[in-house]
Amino acid sequence: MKQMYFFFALSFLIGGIGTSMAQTLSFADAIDQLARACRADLQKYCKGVELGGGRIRACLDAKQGMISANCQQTRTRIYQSIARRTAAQRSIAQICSADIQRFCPGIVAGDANVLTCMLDVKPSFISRACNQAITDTGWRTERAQQ
Amino acid sequence: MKVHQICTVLALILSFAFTTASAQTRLNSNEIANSLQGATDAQLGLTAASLRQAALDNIRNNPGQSAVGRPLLFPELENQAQFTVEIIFDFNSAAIRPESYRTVGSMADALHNPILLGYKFLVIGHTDAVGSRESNLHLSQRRAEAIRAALINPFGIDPARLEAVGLGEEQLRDPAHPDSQINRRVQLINIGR
Repeated sequence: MKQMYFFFALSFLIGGIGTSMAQTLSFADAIDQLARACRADLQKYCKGVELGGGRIRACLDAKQGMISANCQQTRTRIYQSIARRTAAQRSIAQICSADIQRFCPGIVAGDANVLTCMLDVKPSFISRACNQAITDTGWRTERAQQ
Repeated sequence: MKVHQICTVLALILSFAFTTASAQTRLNSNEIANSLQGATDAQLGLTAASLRQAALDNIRNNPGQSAVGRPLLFPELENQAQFTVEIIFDFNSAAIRPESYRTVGSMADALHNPILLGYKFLVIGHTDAVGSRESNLHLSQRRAEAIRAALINPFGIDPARLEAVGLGEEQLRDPAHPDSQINRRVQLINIGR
């Protein structure tokens, strides 16, 4: 029984690390992966369908049983990534509000000032949720590329 | 092998070569974001609606005007912080081709860049001068709207930050060669907060 608990705890921990460490894709990479993995299926089932308004997504959803396994798997993965990145960008100010007050008080918001300050703070000082939100926004890697 | 089969094979080889070449000059969203920075606080004073109306008036008031050497409708637009991309659509349609999805994604990455949050943008579509001015104006408007729609969903840009304008062939990039495909383009222009 003890061993079982340990096993559960361990798998929970590993699972937790696995999901929290995963990075979101840039929007360019995400949609490019979709275009490549679903090239034939888009041509066959969604020709002339517009990307905007969620129409390509709806088209691929409607053809779920028919599209290739690779397209199906990529579609699920990239739409999750896009959703996670947009959600993080929308909610980062709330998620990180305590950390911002602590590490970047008095910084005037705008022109990426607060983010620039937060990225200079050692990640190990920042709360786990805020760190994850920063990672999910993609803004950590974007700055690294500059 | 018949001639048309050879042509198909050749076209496939060419399109593959083009794909490879374009992958090498991949757009960098940080570069886009940087060139979109620095909107002057002195506003353009031009709304999307007034741009659309002026393009329409230009066609009505100057019927039969040659496209060769046609003056820019809005020279001041060219001085704004902006970025120009080429996006491929299905023929005579507003459906973006999958090979251009990455380009739209790069535009979205740039618009999500924290240095540009809070700024508003015009998405301006242009055609070459092949075909009638009216139909080009109409097509470029539909295509600009299609790009705006894609930036909003799936890419999550706030709709209030984007307006779509089609200028058809009324603002040619190369007026000396109005039929050149260099005129087909999409401008993303920062119009301030």
